[in-house]
Amino acid sequence: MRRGDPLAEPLRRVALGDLVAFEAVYRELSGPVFGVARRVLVDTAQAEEVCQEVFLEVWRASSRHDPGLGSVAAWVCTIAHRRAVDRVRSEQAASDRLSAAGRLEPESTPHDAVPEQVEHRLEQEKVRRCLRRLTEEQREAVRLTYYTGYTQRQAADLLRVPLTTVKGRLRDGLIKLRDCLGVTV
Amino acid sequence: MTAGFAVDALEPEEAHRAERHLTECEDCRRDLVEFRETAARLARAEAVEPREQVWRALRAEAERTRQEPPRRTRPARASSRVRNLARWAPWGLAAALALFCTLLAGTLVSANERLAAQEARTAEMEALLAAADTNMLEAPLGDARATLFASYDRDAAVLVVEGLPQAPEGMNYRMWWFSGGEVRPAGVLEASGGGHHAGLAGGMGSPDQLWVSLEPEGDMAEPSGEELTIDM
Repeated sequence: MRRGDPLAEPLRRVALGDLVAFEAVYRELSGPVFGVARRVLVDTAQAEEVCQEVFLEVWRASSRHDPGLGSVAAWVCTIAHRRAVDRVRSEQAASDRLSAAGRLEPESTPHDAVPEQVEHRLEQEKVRRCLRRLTEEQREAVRLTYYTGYTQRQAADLLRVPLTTVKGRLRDGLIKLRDCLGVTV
Repeated sequence: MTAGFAVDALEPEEAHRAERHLTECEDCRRDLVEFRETAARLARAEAVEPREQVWRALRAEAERTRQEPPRRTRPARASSRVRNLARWAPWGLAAALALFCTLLAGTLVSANERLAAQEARTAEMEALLAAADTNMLEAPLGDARATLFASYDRDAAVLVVEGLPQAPEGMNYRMWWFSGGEVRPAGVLEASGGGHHAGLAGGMGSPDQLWVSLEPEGDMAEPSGEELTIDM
């Protein structure tokens, strides 16, 4: 269904037990997976554990990826985000992390750990620019949910606004980001 | 709800509801795919390489981890056809069995020596209709209307067609599975009662399409006539 997904063929080979293809998929996506897990968890050791869990799930379930439901990258990033968020929720140490996760801008990457420098900088810059186009309220909704791992209800309670308000802001925010980033399916 | 679902921001019970709703709402599924691609871009902007130890541990773990086989029942696809793919419902079973009784009444008289084979096939059709994972797909087949009952567990499908012209003398309708650029014979579609054609198509696998073509009688390795297709 999706044409031109550069990871579709490697993933197909992963499903056949090909460890070389598995490494290729890992090299391509370990940065985003680890990065998003660390952003949500604010803890390097836990983020490494999540990263390992995520790719082990990719290894196990590679034959079950449905290209009709999005790219391989989106599939893997979805698993990563969900696992990180599950940990955060089971911990229930959310209030401690709120201040640490307070920044919205993509984190400036430490110089020892930058994948494909130029490409990565460009992508970061693009996302940063698109986030700036959201209203303050929309940005807040995206930050509290995606980057911090709160549910919409928790976000609504924190912001002292009705749940429907948060839902609307998150939805509008994601739509703006989608259009600004030129996401097409 | 789709936006919340895409960024894992729903409470557990809401998430269950969203999942159910997504199976019925094609627009929502498209939104979900787009929101997830968007979220993946946010993740890419966060990219930081983990330490090399993570890969080494992972590789060792993968080597001793068994991989899951592909699902036999295919998940709903983000396609307009999904709307036609109605989950098999108990009320449909009785109706379908009644339909088959009519169909078979038409074919049984045709040749006595084929009676045993016919009975075996009837049993197979009934088993297929009763299978827990049987799905029903309704689709046009040329100018005719086709109903397909498919079971991945039984690796077979029953095709019933209404409104297909009578095959000329010495010819019959044949079914073919088409998947990954290959065509495999799937059996004969026979004329039966009430202007229907019906057939049991075995060896289904995970096909992309079912084809029907008009062929000279006798075994054929691939279709020679123009084929009508049903997307699976």
